[in-house]
Amino acid sequence: MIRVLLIEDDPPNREMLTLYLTSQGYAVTTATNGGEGLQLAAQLAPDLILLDMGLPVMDGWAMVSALRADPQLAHLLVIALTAYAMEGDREHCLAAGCNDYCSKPIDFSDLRAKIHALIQAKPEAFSR
Amino acid sequence: MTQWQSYLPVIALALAGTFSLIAAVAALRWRAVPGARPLAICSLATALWSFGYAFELSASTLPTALGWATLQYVGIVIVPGSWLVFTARYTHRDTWLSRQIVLLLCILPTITVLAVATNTFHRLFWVSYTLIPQGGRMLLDVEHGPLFWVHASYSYICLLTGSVYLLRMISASPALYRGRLGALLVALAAPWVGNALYLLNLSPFGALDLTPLAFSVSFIAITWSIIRLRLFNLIPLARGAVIEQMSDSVAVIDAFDHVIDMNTAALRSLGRARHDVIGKPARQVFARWPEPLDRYRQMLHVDEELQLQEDDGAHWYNVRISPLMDDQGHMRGRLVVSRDITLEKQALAALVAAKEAAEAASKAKSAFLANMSHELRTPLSTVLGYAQLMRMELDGGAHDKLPTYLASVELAGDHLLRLINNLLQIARIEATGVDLEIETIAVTELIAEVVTMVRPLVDRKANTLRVTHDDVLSEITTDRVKLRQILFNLLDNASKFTEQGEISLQVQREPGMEQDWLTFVVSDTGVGISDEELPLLFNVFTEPDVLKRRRFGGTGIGLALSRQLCHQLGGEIIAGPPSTKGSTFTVRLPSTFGVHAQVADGERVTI
Repeated sequence: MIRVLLIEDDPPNREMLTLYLTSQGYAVTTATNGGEGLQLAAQLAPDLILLDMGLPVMDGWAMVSALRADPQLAHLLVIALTAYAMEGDREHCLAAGCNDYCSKPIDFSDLRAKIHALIQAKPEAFSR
Repeated sequence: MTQWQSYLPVIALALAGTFSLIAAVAALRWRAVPGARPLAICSLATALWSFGYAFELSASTLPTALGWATLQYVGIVIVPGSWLVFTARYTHRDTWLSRQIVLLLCILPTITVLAVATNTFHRLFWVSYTLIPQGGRMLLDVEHGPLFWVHASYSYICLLTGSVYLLRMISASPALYRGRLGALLVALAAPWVGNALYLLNLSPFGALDLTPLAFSVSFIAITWSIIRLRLFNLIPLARGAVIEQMSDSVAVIDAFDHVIDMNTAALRSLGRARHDVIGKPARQVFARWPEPLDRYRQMLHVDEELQLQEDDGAHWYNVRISPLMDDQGHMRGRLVVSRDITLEKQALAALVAAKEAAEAASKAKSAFLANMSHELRTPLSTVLGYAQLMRMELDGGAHDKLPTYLASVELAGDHLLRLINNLLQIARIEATGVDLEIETIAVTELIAEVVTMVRPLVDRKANTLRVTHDDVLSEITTDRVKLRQILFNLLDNASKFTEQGEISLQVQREPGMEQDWLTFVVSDTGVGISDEELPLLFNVFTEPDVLKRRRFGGTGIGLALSRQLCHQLGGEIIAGPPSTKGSTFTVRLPSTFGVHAQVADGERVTI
């Protein structure tokens, strides 16, 4: 079973995404800010991190940078799920270290396609 | 004496007449320039004089010689007056020269000409005249009568005055125009020298009057300077006029720090008359500004901006000082030019401020758009997410989860609607201010209303709501709807970020000097706010730096609006202290609105 860490501070979005990911057969763990997310990422070494960028305490950009700076965690796959959807936001997320980017409102088929593309590109991440 | 030598005076006079004619033509070419017309008239008159004299010398009988002599006088009488007018106009000392004065100047020459023409009847001009042989030709020898001396006096006065004008111009002009001034000196001196030689009987031609020849020398000098040195060049005239008319203050200070010249602008700015400053020490003339004066005393080159206190406030000046050197490189004085640049300074400052304001507004607008997009997309993502989940349910033939999903859609939709309403309210306050409806309400009643509104939101995350208040809350005079809105926004935020925790509302009455204050403290046990986020909290819409954007989960609009409303109600809203164990917001309002009449403008959210 693919283990997904969902880091999202907005409760309704977190619930909705958890419902969707669970329905797709993923094992979902949630966190509400970047600090908590980083801790869980180190503990669980999830197959995929879905990361909201605008987070309290430690935001998504800081978190993904910390992730990439840590040799133990640098390999983890991260997709940004964010309501920052203005020009340049996608590039900004990718530059910070995200592997891909989905803007809110989330289109499930788009998210699914991006997850699958990452799995195919890096199957070893999902081997366990 | 040979035949050739006897023709010398005639040839000289003919040449003089010719040069005078050339000078007249040359002067007429520059007739737009002051002094050119009288100079042309003067040269023409001299030409007439010279030619007449040449013919007189060629005459062999007394009546012929007298006839030519009479004709000459038409020229002779015109020369002094026109010379005077020329010098006055040319040296710009012609303010007294009205048309009437010019006509007055013509009276005596007219009488003289008439007297000469009628001399045979009265002999008041020439008492006697006879032809005497000299140098191989006959020369008219006359004894002068009283009218001649009247004419001579008039002529000398004119000549003398003109010479004074030229001398003053020469002495006042900088060395730059030396060639031109040399020519002027020749022009000035020649008639005097010629006349002196004649009167002292030093003429190489005996009794021959050298004055017309001398005037011709003048005109040759002037013509030469017209052609070679541009006597009528506009530049020296224009320079004088420019300095006089310019709005910059100009002062010339000599090597001993005395003011020797000042233009009108400088005099006006000092509020002093020319005679009051010329020749005076600079420290006396500029006594109003001792500081820069001391500093400039030893400085030869200055170009700086200077602020001085004037009667009507501070003024900015651009001050330039440059040395005046003579040919040997000795410093003879300094030229001081100053310009009032206060308006330029003010305009520049205003432009910079406007530019910065425009840039800030533009940045704020971009930040606002980005944040708006973010704030609206967040609940919309929930709505559309649940819609997709419902579609998946229906496609799979299941229905049991639909009611839960629908409830979530409604909740997210409500949130989105509140967001939009808050946003519209902010925009309206920005545009037109807020309309307050002040009434006196029981505080406990208001608290009950708010609790009723917020209860479903609190319950949804299994939170508990604790309301505490003093026993003596009694009443508050304020805008009921606005206060309710503030408290609802804060409680809405608290319940959103808290799960299975406690949300509390504490209300207290604080006695004050002039009136009591009511504090409403909303706190929760939820996510909390870091000290880093705290200063950004209310400015979430104007924060342009994308790296500093933090999510406040749709609270940004609510908080920004709450703060604006608090300011409108004469109070304030404070966030904090920072904590990871929940957040606290404190609203402080006067118990009676308007006691201080302090409807604070607040720190506006720029849209």
